[in-house]
Amino acid sequence: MAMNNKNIIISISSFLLFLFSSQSFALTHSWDAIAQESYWLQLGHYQAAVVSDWKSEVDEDSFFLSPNGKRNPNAELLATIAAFNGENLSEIERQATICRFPARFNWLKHKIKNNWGSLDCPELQQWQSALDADTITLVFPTAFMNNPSSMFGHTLLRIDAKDQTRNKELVAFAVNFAAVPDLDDNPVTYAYKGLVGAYPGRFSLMPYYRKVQEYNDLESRDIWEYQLKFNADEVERVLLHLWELQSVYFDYYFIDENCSYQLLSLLQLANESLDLTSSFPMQAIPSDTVAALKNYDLLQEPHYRPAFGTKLFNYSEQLSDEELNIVRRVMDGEDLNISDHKPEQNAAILEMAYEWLNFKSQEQGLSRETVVKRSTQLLIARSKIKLTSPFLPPKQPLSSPEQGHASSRLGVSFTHTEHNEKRYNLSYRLAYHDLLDQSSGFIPGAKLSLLDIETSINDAGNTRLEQAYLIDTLAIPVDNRIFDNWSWGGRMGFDRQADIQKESGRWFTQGGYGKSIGDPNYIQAYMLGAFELNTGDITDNDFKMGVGSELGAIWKINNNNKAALKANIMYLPDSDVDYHYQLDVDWNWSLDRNWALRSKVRYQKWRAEDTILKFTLYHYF
Amino acid sequence: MKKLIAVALFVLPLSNVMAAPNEGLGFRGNSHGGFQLFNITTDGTMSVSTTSGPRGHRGGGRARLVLFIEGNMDNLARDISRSGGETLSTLTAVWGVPVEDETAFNELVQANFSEVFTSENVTSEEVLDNLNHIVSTDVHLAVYTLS
Repeated sequence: MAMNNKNIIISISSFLLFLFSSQSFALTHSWDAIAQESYWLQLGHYQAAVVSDWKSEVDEDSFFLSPNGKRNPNAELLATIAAFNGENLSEIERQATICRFPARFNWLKHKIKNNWGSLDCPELQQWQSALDADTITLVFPTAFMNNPSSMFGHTLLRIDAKDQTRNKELVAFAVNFAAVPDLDDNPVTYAYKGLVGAYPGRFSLMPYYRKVQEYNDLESRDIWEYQLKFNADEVERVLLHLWELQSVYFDYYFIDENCSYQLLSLLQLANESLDLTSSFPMQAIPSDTVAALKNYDLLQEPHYRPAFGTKLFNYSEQLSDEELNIVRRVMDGEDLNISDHKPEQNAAILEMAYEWLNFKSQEQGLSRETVVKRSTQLLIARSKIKLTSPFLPPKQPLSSPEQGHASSRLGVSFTHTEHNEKRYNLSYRLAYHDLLDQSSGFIPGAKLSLLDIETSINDAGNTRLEQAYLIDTLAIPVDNRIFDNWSWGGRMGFDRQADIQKESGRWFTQGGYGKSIGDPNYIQAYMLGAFELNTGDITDNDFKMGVGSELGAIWKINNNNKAALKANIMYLPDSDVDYHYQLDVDWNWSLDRNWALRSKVRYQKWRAEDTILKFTLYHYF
Repeated sequence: MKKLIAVALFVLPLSNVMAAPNEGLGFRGNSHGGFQLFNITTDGTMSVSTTSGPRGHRGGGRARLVLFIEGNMDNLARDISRSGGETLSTLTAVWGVPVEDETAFNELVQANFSEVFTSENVTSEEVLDNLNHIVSTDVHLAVYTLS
């Protein structure tokens, strides 16, 4: 009997031992698996790295519970679970850790067996009830009209409160990710540190009106707002992780880890199935942020906030020439004789004068003292007319940014020259938009190409570089009754020019400044005075400068078709030829958002002349 | 490579840096103070939570209005001169004026523009006091007077 008992005890203990070891094996195994789950990696902002397997983009020791947490998601998971279990911690410390990492807590709670209880964090709850979050909105300011480089721009989030009975977007909270620079640094240090990511980036909250004023009013950029299709649980998960990121610094890079990227890395925590960052094609570009969210069908119909300049132009279109002349005089200090016009007209004139005066003062950087007296007088005069504004607001543009083509472009072409040479070309453009690309979703009259490369092969199998533009930009905002806009452009890189017996390579840089007229949604023409510096085979490797003109006209035939006539005529004062020029006739047919066919006829003259016929199929991605 | 190329064109979006607050009209763009805060509830100045009903004001309402006026002075003056607009509509919502009385409120403050913006150097506190005084003397809207 004793024997039996002993046997039983041994059996039970070995069974328990077996059970325990197999269970602990299973647990270790499953923890490893959990640590490699994408949601855990996203919570820790881990990215595949070179030296170790993983490295977190968070640059803050306090964000990791394990000393190896920055590079080891497994260690961080084990440390997190240990802390939530209260190992070596007082109950107060345990609760503090849980409340520091509520998103990790809520996720792990459903992943592993535990007796952790539920979240009980008064400070967090206070914060959540202050936000009173209902939905999250992605905010996308578009580019400046006269600065194509702002196409890269910025994106931010807005947390909309539950009480939607009133228009209160302005006092909702904006979630902004930005670098925190050292104010003592000089501009060179500033640029360098920004480039290498020496300035840390962090999330901050601020009232949305500050951001509206910054983009709409000061920088005059239209804003698009996309409410995200998140349910209440998803909104909560995002906010809980935002809480974890309070006071956390990230290495800030201009490109890789910029605001758009960090916002996506936050938003993808809404649920386990989202992976917004790994498929991000060109991190720098906010429109790709919009596209990434569109791919997951997370965007509601956008809402449009016209920029200051957009509103001003829209108001001016509702006034006659005579009324605008009165506005000019009133702006300059003349009293408005209110008995001359109807009250609606008086109201419109005074409002326009106030807006225009403010716009000019911002544009020209006038001091407050020079305009504040007059603009206050205009407001007082306006307040005496008992009417609301007679102006109709600007209409929302037909196409919003998420409808625009993707920012990178690949092309295959067939080229035929007048000397009967056939070539097959492959071209790639890193970013972003040229004036013949379909304009839906882009601001009109702005071109920016970065790294636009083309190679070719002929029937004999000879390959060569046709073109390599590092940058090619053109901004042609049109003149109108109220804006005196200047156009400008610049180009730098390598291309080929007509030479005796061949097409010779040329390295060059060119810049121009001028004017544009017309309507970018119909026919627009521009003319720039231009200067260039050339070298390479075409100048026998001497430096030769050129002065002349870059001009053209673009006709938007309909939404899918555009035609352009472009010319570049340059006088070469100290060269073996007097001048060189190039004429292009282009026609672009957009098959859909991301496919287009382009035909080109080019006439080129330098040492010799050449006519080239070219058909290209473009894919945007 | 792409980092090097694009960097020259990049505008680094900067955190808002604490600036000395400017009072008065015509300071559009001189952004005020940095709310780089997660502890919004502990200082109580920037709460989006709503105070419901005109008579339900608690102490936080006034501070919130002063802050809103300070950050929106120019747009508010513009909207008041026209008795309408998003900034004025937001003010009345934060104030606690219900939708049905919004037009009356807007018309009242428009009619008294010069009493609200007594000079171009008026402070946000003064603007709120002036608005509150005008509201308190109106037969219909006096119920929305802030304490």
